Parts: sequence; structure tokens; C-alpha cells
Amino acid sequence: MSSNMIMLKSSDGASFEIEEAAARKSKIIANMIEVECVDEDKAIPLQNVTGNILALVIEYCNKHIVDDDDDVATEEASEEEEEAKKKKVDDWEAEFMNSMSLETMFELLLAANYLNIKSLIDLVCQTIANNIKDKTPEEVRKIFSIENDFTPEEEEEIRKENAWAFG
Amino acid sequence: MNLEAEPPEKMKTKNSSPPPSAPSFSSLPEEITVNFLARISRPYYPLISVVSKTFHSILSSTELYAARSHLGSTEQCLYVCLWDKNNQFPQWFTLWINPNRTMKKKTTGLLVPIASSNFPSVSNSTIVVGSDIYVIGGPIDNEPSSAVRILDCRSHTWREAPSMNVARWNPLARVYDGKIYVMAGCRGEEDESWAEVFDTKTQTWEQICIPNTELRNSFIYRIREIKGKIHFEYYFQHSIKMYAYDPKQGKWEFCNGVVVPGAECVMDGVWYKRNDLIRRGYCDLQWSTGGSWRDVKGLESLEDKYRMNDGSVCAISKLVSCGGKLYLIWDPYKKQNPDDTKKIWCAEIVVEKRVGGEVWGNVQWVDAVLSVPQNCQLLNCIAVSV
Repeated sequence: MSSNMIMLKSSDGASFEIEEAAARKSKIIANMIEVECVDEDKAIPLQNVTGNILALVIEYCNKHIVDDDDDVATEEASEEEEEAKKKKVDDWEAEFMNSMSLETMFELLLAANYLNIKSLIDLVCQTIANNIKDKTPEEVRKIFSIENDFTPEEEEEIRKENAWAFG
Repeated sequence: MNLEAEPPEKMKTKNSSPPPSAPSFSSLPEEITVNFLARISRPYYPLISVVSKTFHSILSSTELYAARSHLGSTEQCLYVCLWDKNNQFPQWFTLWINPNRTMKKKTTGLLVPIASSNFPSVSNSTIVVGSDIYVIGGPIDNEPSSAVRILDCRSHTWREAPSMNVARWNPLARVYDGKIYVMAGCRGEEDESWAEVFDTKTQTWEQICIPNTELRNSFIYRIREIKGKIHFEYYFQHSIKMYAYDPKQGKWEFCNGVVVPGAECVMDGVWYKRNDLIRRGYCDLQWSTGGSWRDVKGLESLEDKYRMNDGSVCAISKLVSCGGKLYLIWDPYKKQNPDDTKKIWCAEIVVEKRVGGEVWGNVQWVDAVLSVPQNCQLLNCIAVSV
């Protein structure tokens, strides 16, 4: 399948070439293409995504666009084949996420939200949820840049209520 | 709505707040925060809720639990009811299992009290529908009662359900297809509706006609749901008999034989029970798939613990399957202690079917999960998906 290529430009000035079909995984980019505000010669500037994160997003989109094509080609695939394919995607996703730090995962989540890629949001949320388990509240705040908006008294009260969990 | 309100000036100085340029989790839409928190395992919630006000309020919201069931990330949690005879109301607890229990010096499991029911019934008749526990009937002050209370295990709040037509005492109850079938526990008078059914959707009670008075006057020792039919096992004239009620057809049929007598819980098609009445002071577990009972192997360590910690023929214990594991909770009978307290114990067991048809139990942990006054008694133990 031949496809148009489009250019994406990260906040730190890196340019990436990506198949239109892959880029359409992002609802934001798909919308831009629909309303024809994409100039073939110009890169789409993505102000909230750095180059290293955009590279990950593109890797994810490329992988999943191939999977979508497969779905069309083998519509009558048996249940077993479907299952094997799903397992392949799951394994790839596990491998893909495995190499990332929680900080990178968080940046990827922000990018997935900004670009509106639902399946990537779900994947990153699940992976963070699986990996956050042995973190203290302080560590969670730091990783996600969450401001502690409790007063010391309020925080103390919640900690007291759940003192058993902090033992 | 997704953006945090600007905190007052005095709070800004207190915290090591991130630089304003750093993107924060709080800048994400609430929908994503819910999506993320719903995927976290529930035992972490007490810790995670300290992170921020947003996390704290989402973790106790109905949206969160709706998301958990939508995403299929619900987990089975164990709920335990204890009754201190000096108190008017029995107290419900949830079993919190420390997710970081590999670390040293940490509690393994703990019974955490939840809001009081303000319901004086000490009925052992409890039913789970969705994420709700129904506590059905009396005894209240040694009298039967028609009252029903519901514990919402997501929010840990209580509400009242419509009362039954008949006052009952520890009635037998089973749920099937969103309907709760309640039988017996009443005085057995002719004009009383011996059996009734509660439709959880319409929130109404309806009487059920029973086939004969034999059932009404027998000692019903168990009620179970098998393949869509409600089975009643009862003693009549020194023999065990069984009737089945088909709720779809509203018909009764007499059945021969008893399929699995004495089973306490079922997991992956295998029935389990304790055998502690046979070998005094021991707590053998047994399994069956419908034939004879066989011992679960490899539980010597549990037996030792059980005996050392006052497990005896007099102890009350409950065996429950929860989240693919078995939990044995026991309330030891003990001679008077100087400090007048005792401990409630819990064991977590993973079972494994081995080649050759044997079932082995692997004890994950055994721990005292609560210290209670001597005259406290284990009433109920039940698994709920939340």
C-alpha cells in the first residue's frame, strides 16, 4: 500500500517523516489532514512534544498501522490466528514500554493526550499503573510533577486515617 | 475542571512545588487521571490518595469504580464481619493485603474497619450482588427481623433495602440472575411465605409458592445454585433430600442424592471444605469435583500455625475463594486471657492441580490480621468484586 508521507516537527526542532496512515492514529493530525491545513512541503509543528518522545510516538503509530493493514488483508483469519496476532502486538507493546523510565512514560502520556491517541493513552496508563506500586506518595508527586495541595494538617489527617498502609 | 485551582499563596511556599514550566499530571484531563487510577490495584489506594486532593477525591468517586468495571480492572476483595457481644452493632472490615509485603517488618494482612452499619442484626445471611453486600434479616435482640441492609463496597456506605414480607432469622439466601432467593428462618406457620424473592432491579419482594409442607418443616442445611437452579438440601426423617427450584419456569422438582455435601466454596470448578471436625485440632483442606473428598496436599506449615494459634475444634473458621486464591480465616477459641483479647488469623493459599490428579496448596502467608476482645465472634466472610 502506497501512502503519502507527511512531516512532523518536534518542539526542539527535530523533523520526522511519517506515513499519513500512521499519523492518522493521532486524531489531532487526522483532523488537520481532513481540513487540509497540512502543506505537503511543510512540517506540522508539534509544540508540546520533544524529539525523543515524538520518536517513540511515531514508533508506536508505525507498528499499529501495520497491524491495522493486516486486519484488512486477513479478514477471514481464524480465531487462533487472531489470538496469535494479538499476542504478538501485546508482546511488542510490553517490550516497547519495558525500556522506559516512569518519567519517560509520563512524557509519552502527555504527548499521547496532546496528539489524542486513545490506544496509546490506555497502554501508557496501564503500564504506569503496573509500575507505580512501590513508590511513596512523595515519589509519585515528583515523577508526575504533581503539587501537593493538601495543607500539612489535611495530609496528616489522611495519613492518620490510613496509618496501617504506611507501616 | 481538569486544571487544579491556583493554590493560596501560603501553600505555595510550603511545598517543593515543581517549576511552573514543568508539565504536571494535573494538566491532563480528569478523564485520563480516572483512566490511570482505575488501573491501579486497590490495596495501593490508601497510599496514592495522599498524593493530591484530585487523586484523593477521584479515588473515592463513583466515576472511578465505573471506570474499573468498564476497563475490567475490578478485583475481588475480602469482607469480614465480626461481632463483639458488648456492642450493639456488628463491625465490618475489609482485608487489606500489603502490596509491598516482600519488604521486611511490614504487615502482611490487616482487617481495616469500615463505617458502621448502625444495623443491630447479627444475621449470618449475606449475599453479594455486583459490588453490594446484602445483610438479610435477624436475629436482632434474639428475634427474627424482616429488615435488609446493603453495604456498597465501592464507597463503603450503607443503605436500607425494602423489608421482606416475613421476619426471618439467619435465612438461607442465594442470588441468581439479579434476584435474591430467601428461604426459611421464619416460624413456619401456614400463612407465612416460607420463601420469597427480591428483584434487585425493581427493588421488590415477591412470595414463592413451595411444593409441599415437608420442605417447610424440614431442617434445611444448605442452599446452592447449580446450573441455574436453586437447590435445597434438607434432612427429613433421618435422610438427606434435595429439591430444586427453577426460577425461570417457577417450578419445583425433586432430586435424588446430594452432589457435594459440605462444600464451603468453589474455585475453577473445584469444591473445597475444611476437614477440621474429623481430626481434632487440625485444619485439613479437602477438595472434590463432585465425587469423593480428597486432601489438599502440602499444607503442613498451615496446620502447624493453625494449632499453635489456638485453632481447635471449637474455633470458628471460614474458607472463602477470592481472586483465584483460597483464604482461611479463623477466630480461635481460647481460654480466658489475662488481657482479655485474642487474634483473628488469616491464611492465603494458592492451589495447584498437579499431574496425577493431586491438588497441592501453597501457603502464601499466615498472619494475625486483627486483635479483638475475647468475646468477639466471626460472623461473616465474603468476597466482593470492586
